[in-house]
Amino acid sequence: MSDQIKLERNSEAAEQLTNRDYKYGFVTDIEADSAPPGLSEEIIRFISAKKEEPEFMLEFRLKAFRHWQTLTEPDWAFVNYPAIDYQDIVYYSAPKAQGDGPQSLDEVDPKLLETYEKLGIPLKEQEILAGVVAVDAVFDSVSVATTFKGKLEELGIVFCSFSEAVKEHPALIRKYLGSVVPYTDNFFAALNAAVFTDGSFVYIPKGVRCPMELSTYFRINAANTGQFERTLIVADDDAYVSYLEGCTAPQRDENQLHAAVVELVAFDNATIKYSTVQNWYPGDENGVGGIYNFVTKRGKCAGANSKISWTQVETGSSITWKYPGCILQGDNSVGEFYSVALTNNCQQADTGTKMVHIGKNTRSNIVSKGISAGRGQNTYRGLVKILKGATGARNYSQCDSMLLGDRCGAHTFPYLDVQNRTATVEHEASTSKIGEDQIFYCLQRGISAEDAVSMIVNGFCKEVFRELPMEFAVEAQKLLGISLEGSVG
Amino acid sequence: MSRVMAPPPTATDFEALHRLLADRGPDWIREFRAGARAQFVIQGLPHHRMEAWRQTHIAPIAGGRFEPSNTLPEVSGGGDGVWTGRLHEAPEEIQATARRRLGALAGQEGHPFTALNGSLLNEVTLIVLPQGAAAGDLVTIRHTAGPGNSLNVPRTLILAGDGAAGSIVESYEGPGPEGGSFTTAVTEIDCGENTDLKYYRIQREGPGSFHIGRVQARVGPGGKLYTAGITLGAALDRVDAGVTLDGEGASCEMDGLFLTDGVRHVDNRTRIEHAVPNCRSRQVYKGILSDRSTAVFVGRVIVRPGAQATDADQSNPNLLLSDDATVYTRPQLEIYADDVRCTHGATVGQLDADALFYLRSRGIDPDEAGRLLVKGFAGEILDRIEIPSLRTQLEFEVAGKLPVTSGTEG
Repeated sequence: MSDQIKLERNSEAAEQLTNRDYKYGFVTDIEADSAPPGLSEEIIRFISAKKEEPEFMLEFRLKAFRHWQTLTEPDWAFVNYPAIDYQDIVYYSAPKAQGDGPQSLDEVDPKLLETYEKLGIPLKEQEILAGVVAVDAVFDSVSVATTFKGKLEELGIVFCSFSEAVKEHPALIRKYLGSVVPYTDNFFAALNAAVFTDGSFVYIPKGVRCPMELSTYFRINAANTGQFERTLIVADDDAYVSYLEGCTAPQRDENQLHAAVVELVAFDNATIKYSTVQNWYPGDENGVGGIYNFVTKRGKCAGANSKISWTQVETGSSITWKYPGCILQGDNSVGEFYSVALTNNCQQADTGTKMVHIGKNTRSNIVSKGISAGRGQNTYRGLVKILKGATGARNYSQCDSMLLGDRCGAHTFPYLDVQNRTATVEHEASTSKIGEDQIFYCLQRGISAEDAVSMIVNGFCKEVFRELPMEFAVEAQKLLGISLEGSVG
Repeated sequence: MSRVMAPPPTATDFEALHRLLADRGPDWIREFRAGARAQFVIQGLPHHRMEAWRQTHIAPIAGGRFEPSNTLPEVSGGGDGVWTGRLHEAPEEIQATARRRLGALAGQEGHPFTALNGSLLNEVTLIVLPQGAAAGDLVTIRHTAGPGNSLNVPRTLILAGDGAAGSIVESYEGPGPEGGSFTTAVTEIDCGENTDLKYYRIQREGPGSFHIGRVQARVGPGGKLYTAGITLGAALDRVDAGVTLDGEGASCEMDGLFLTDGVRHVDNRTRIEHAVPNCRSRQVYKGILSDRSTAVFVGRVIVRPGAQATDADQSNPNLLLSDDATVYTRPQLEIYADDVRCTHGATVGQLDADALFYLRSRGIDPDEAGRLLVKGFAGEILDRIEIPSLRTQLEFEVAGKLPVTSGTEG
């Protein structure tokens, strides 16, 4: 095939890609109990009062806010976006409470339930669904329903909304909040610490293996409402937990800022598996609208032989800017990062991981798959840092990029800092497109070009998908399939 | 060797030097200096809060007091029609071309030391390989830093005409173990169509010197450029080497070898730009670190939109021979075209225990076994040097620099 034909084909494919609609684009009309836009100490006091928080939380927020005021927004990422007006964002919005809040699912606003049903999480059926998944669903900023709590309570597992945890487990919150991502960490972490409204809290006691995948569906709803979730997961000695995070958002024209913070703490022999499927509104074909996803995620392997594993499938958001990382403090601890990032139209992603090896014989494994289509820009940026005491540390990183079309970009920026000679660090990366011979092979066997592309891309991502829990793996493959409709290279 | 990098009490007054030079030399050089001076004033000296200078701290340069040196480079070799020497001594028609090309490749924006070099420019070494110059022509340029705390501003311009072939060895030496010289060097290499040029850059300055270098090349259609950067000396060394593949079928190969010991610091930055389709690039930079030394490698391959059928490889293997050495490596790819094959890789590790065991089981003592393996590691780069005398000389120098301990324990 000549280059000319290839180019035409690619641009055709890109056109088809841009024509696809955002499948989950709909808006629920619920009267929001919002704060006025803008950020000030008053707003922070308002949020804290609204959530009936204890004094230490208000102190934490105010300290973070004062620190945030001294910071300037970072600009080193490989992304472009118009300046964000932080005084134009609504920092608090809650669905209007009916009475003292819902006591059971029946009391939940039927419109909310409808939204969830459209999203494919029929809460009413959750309990009947035989304890596979517990959902602590977050709608805008207030948790509306939490299921399966009773079952988890029997094992001593705490799984609740962050606001609830602040009230019921203040000692735990006080101890671990900000212990992995301090409010001084970065611009967006400081902002989050000042204004976060809700999120999830999980505590797995010693020796307990959480019997089900814990899951939260976040959903951004009210226009102009930045979502600032805070998630904290603590796994005590010998505990195990697998946590799922999945997102879809309705179609909007205005950019919405999302600056979440996720903190994980794993003690001796504990394992935390954190999986994300992110499919927020990516903006239209001209890059108008879409979510800014500026997230700080970090896990600390505090104990010996602990393990933290991040798996992410990033297909949405107009800008994704996040580096889920692991601080490998305990000896023999393990950090893993598996990522699929897809950018299409004008989407931009600057994502990767940070693996900081502190303890002896710590190991980390990084697998990153980037797919660029349309005018999408996809950047892998990852730090592997081996400190002086990390004798016998081992890292292997693999970053593969696939380009679909001639107007997109794929970039790889690894950072390897090694201070110990017994460490072994390897980084490999490659960039490619779908081979014509691969497509030809499939066509020859009667597989349509479209199915062939989907198959090849799914194969390209297989190493990551197999790390996902089963139900997520299915969703992730579907998402890629939708994204690649018509993209015959 | 351990040298405390304490800055002398007063820093160099570059502004005073600029004023001193203001009315020296012909018009064109004064204009060139004035332009560069304006750029240098805008940028100032870099500091470690800038991403590009985070690992390389230039405090000893910023705080040092350096006196301009008047040593001149020694240029030798060249064949029929090859013009070598000082730019202002060249015949008028060559001079006119050279003046036009000077500064055209090595942009000053984002390169404060290139601006500094331009603002203090005095002598330009010019090498002109005319059209069809024969292969085998070897030109050597030897820069010797002045004694003591000298300030050296070497500038080289290499122009290779269409179809020219040749080899150029540029070395930086001096000022001996006592000196604390500062060198800011810039070399520009402009290769026309179907050229075949080999450029060797050897930095073997004294243990107390500071060396900041820049090499910027352009390769025209069908041209081939091979560069080797060998870093053996200086307390602090940073070299930014860039190549733009500017015509279809152009290719470049960049080799690098750096040996660090004591508290030395070496920073290598490469930037290859694939500006047009059907070009090929390959980079191998190898580092051997011992004692408390640090090394930085930042290599970037940029594939511009439309530069289809690009083939680019980049690798940076590092050998850590000490528990106190640190390596920072950032191999980077920036790709805006889809029909490309690009790979990069970096590794950091110590000597392979199995290989050491193999040698020891054959009666070779651990130190010797270690040395053999390190020599083999460096050999991959040295073996590619096609000038026998230079290769032998470098093998000897590298062997002399290898640490005595094999690094078997641990």
